[in-house]
Amino acid sequence: MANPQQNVTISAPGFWGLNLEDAPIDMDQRYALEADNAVIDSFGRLGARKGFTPFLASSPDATMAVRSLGRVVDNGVVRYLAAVTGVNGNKIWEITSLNANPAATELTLPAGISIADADTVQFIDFASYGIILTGDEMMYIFDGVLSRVSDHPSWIEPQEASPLLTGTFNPTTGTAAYGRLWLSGGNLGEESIHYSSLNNPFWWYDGSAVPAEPLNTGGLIDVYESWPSGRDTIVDIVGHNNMLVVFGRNSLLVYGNPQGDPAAQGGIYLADTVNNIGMVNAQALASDGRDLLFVDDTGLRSLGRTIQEQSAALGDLSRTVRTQVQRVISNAFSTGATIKLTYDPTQSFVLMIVSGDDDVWCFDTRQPMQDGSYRVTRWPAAPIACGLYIDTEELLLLGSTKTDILLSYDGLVDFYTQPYNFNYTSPALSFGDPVRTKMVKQIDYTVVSGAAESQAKGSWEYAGIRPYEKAGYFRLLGGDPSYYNSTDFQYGDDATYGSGTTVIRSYKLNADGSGENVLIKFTASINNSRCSLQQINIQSLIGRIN
Amino acid sequence: MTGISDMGFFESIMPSVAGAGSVALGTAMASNLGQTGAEAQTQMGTLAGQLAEDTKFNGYGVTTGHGTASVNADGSTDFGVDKNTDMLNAADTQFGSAATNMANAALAAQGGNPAYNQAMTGLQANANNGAYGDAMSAQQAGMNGLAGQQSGMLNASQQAMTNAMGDRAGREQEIYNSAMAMQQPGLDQARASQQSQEFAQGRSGVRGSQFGGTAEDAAMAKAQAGAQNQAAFQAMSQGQQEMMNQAQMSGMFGQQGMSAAGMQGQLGSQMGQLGAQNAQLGQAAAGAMGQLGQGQGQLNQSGASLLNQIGQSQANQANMQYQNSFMPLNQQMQAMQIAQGNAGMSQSGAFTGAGYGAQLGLGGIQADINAQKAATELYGNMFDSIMDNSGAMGKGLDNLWDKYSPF
Repeated sequence: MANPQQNVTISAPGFWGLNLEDAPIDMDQRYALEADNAVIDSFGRLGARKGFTPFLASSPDATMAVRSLGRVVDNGVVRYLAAVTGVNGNKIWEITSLNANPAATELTLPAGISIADADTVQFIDFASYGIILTGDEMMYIFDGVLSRVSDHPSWIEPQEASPLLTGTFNPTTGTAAYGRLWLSGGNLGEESIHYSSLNNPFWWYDGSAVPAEPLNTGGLIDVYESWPSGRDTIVDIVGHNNMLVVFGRNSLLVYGNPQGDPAAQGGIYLADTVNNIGMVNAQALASDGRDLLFVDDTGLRSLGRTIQEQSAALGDLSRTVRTQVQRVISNAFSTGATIKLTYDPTQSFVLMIVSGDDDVWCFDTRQPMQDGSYRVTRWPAAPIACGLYIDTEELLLLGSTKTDILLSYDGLVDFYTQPYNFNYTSPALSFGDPVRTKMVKQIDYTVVSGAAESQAKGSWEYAGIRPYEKAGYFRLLGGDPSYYNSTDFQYGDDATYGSGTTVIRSYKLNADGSGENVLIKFTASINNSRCSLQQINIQSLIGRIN
Repeated sequence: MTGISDMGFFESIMPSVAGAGSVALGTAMASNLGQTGAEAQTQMGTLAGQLAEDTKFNGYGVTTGHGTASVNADGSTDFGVDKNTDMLNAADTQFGSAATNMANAALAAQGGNPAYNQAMTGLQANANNGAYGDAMSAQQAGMNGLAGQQSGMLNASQQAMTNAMGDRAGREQEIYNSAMAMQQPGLDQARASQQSQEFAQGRSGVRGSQFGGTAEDAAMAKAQAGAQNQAAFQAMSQGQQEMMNQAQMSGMFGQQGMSAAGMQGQLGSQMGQLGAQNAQLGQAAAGAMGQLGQGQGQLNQSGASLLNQIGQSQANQANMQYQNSFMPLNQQMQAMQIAQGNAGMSQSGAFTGAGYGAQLGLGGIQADINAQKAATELYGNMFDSIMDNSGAMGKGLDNLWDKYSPF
C-alpha cells in the first residue's frame, strides 16, 4: 500500500528573511536562503521591492553622480543638498522642486574650498544654518550661499594662549546634538571632540586668559584617556538617548549629561565604554527612532535605548547574514569604499549601501526577531550610492551610480522599462523527518500580484542531488480586485473587479523526483506589477528510510 | 796775298817751330808755377804747425818764500803751498784746551760743588726721613681709612639700594618658590585627587571656554590661585621686611666703617703731623746746607767763569791761528794772480810773434808765387814775341836762303 501524500505548508515563506548562518536542516522554514530584490511588505510577507525611477527633470551636469545627500534648514528654508562627483570634479548641488519637475542646481563653493571625496561629505542641520563637512574648511549655508565659517564676523577659532589649531578648521565628522555642534577629525584631531557654543557654529573653545566672548560656552573633550583599550580614533559622534555616543573605529564611548555647559559642574561625563565594537565610517549610521543603527566590522549593529540602565543594549542586527556582510565590509574597507546606511520609516527598512559593491542589504525595522536580528533581504545589482528619506514627500531619494544621477524608490519597474527579478529560495525542507525520502508531487504558490500580468517561475530542487532542478512557468494574474464596501464594487455588476491593487491567487505546479531535502524556489519578473509570496503548500510522499 | 805758296819756306815753318818751342816752354813754365803753388801749400802747413807750436800754452810758475806754485800746460794748477800745519795743530790744541777749560768750568759750576751735593743729600735725607715716611704712611693709612669708609658707605648704600629695589622681586620669588615648594606636595595631591576624581566621574579631558577646563578644574585652579596669591603677598611682605632689615644692617655696617675710617684718618693725621714736623726740621737743615752749597756754588761758578773766559780766549786764539794757518796759501794765491798777469803777457808776446811770423811767412810765399807768376807771364810774353818774330825770321831766312841758297 502506497503511503499517503503528506501536505507540508510553508505558511510564511521567507517572512523571516535571509538566514545564511544557521544549519539549513534545523532552520525555521520561515527563513529564506535567497531573497533577492525582496522586502518585507506591509503585511509581513516576502515581496518584491519597488523600482528605481529616475527623479530629476533637469540637472546642471548629466555626467555627475550623487554620492552624499543631506537635509538642512537654512534660515527657515528646507534645503536638500547633494555632494556629487564626476569628470568635472566634486561639487555641491541643491535639489529643488521635489514634487514637480525636480531639478538640481549647483551651489558655488567659497574660493579655495575643494571637496576631496564626495562620498564622505556630511550635511548637518544646526540652528539656522546648514553645516557642511568636506574635509576642507567647514562651510555653512545661509540664505542659499555657501561660506567658510572663518568668514563669519563672529568667528572664534579654538584657542588658548595661542590658537589650538595649526591650520584651517576642517573637521571631517560630527553631529549636531543638544544645541551644539560636536566635531572631530582633520586639524581638530582624531581624539578630540570640539563642541560649539550653544546654537552657534562660530564660537569654539576659548580658554585664553581673556576670552573673546564672555558668553561663549564652546569647549573640547580629549578622549584619548577614555578609550577602553589602547588607542582609537573618532569615526563619528551622535546624540542618542540623552547620551553623546562617540564611535571609535574599534570602540564606543558613551557620554552622559551632554546638555547645558558640558564643562560646568556636573556636566558631561563618560558613562560607558564598549570595546571591540566600533564604526567602519561616519556614513554607516542611522537611527530608526528606537535604536541607533551602525555598521561595525561584524555587520549591522544597534545601540538601544535605556531608561534606567546605564549601559545601552547592543544588538546584532545582521546575525543571520553575518558572514556575507562581514565579507562585504572587509572588502569595502580594503578597497577604501564607503558604507552608508539609509533609513526609510515609510518602508520600514534600513538599506546598507556599499560603494563599489552593487549588492544592497535591506534590513526590515518593523520588529526585531526573537534573536534580536532584523529580517534581511538583498538587492543584487542595485545601482545605489546613497540615500535620503524625505518625510514631507514620503520619498526615498537614492543617489545613482548610473547616469540617472538621482533615483526615487518608487514604481514597479526599474528605470521606467527594465523588469527585475524577485527571487525566493526556501531552506532545505526535511518535513520533520530527515531520514526518509521525499517525493514532491505538487507545489502550490499563493502569490499576491498586481494590476498587470507578469511572468513567474516555480521550481524545486533536492538538496545534494544537484543539478536536479525543475521549473514551471506561469503567469501571475493582473487585475483590479476590489475591496469590500468599495463604492465601485457591486455584486452582479458588469465590473468583475473593483479598484483594489492586489490579486491573491494560488498557482499549482506539479513536481517529481525524490530526495531527502527539498528546496522550493520562486522567481517573478517584476514589470509594473507587484508580487508577494503569501503561502506555499507542498504535497509530497514520504518514502522509506534511507 | 794769302797762302803758303805765297810764303817762303822758312817764313812758313818758322812760326810753327816757334810755336812748338813756345808750347814746350809754356808747359814747362806752367808746371813750374804749379809746383811752386804746391810748395807754398806745404810751406803754409809747416808754418801753421810752427805757429801752433809757437802759440801753445806752456804754463807758468811762481816761486815765493812759501813755495813754488805752477800752472801746467793742460791748465792744472799746483799751488805748491798748503795751510800752515803747525798753526793749525796749535789751533786744535788750543781749541782742546779751551774746551777742557770750559768743561771744567761747567763741572766746577755744577757737579763738582760738594756743598751743592751736601745740600742735595740733605734734601734727599729729608725725603728719606723716617718720620716723614711714617707720616706719609700714616697719611696713606688715613687716606685708606677714608677710602674704606667711603667704600663701605658706598657699598652699604648700594647694597641697601639693591636690596630695597632691584633684588627684592627675586627674593620675593625665592620666598614664593619656597612657600609653593612647601605647598607643592599638597597641591600635587589635591590636583591628583582632582584628576582622579574627574577621571572617576568620566570628566577627564573636558575643557570649556567659561573655565579653561571643567568647572571643577576652575575651582581647583581658583583655590590654587588663591593660595598662590596669598603666598605671593606673603612673599612680598617677607621680602620687604628682609630688605628693610638688610638696609638697616647695611647702615650699621656703613656707620662702623665710617668710624673705623675716621679713627684711621685721625691716627694718620697725627702721624702726618709728626712727620711734617720732622720733615720741617730736615728741610731747615737741608736749607742751611743748601745756602752753604749755594755760596760755594757761587764761588765755583766764578772760578768756572774765569776758566770759561780762559777757554774762550784760547778758543779765540786758536781760531786766529787757524785763520792764519791759511795765510801762506792766500799769499801764494796772490802771487799766482801776479804770475797769471805775467803769463798772460808772455802768451800775448807769443801770439804776436807768431802773428808776425805767420804774416811774414805768408808774405814770402805770396811773393814767391807772385814772382813765379810774373816770370811765367814774362816768359809767355817772350815766347809770344818769339812767335811773332819767327815769321820775320823765317822770311829773313827765306830771303837768306833765297839769297844764298844754291837752289
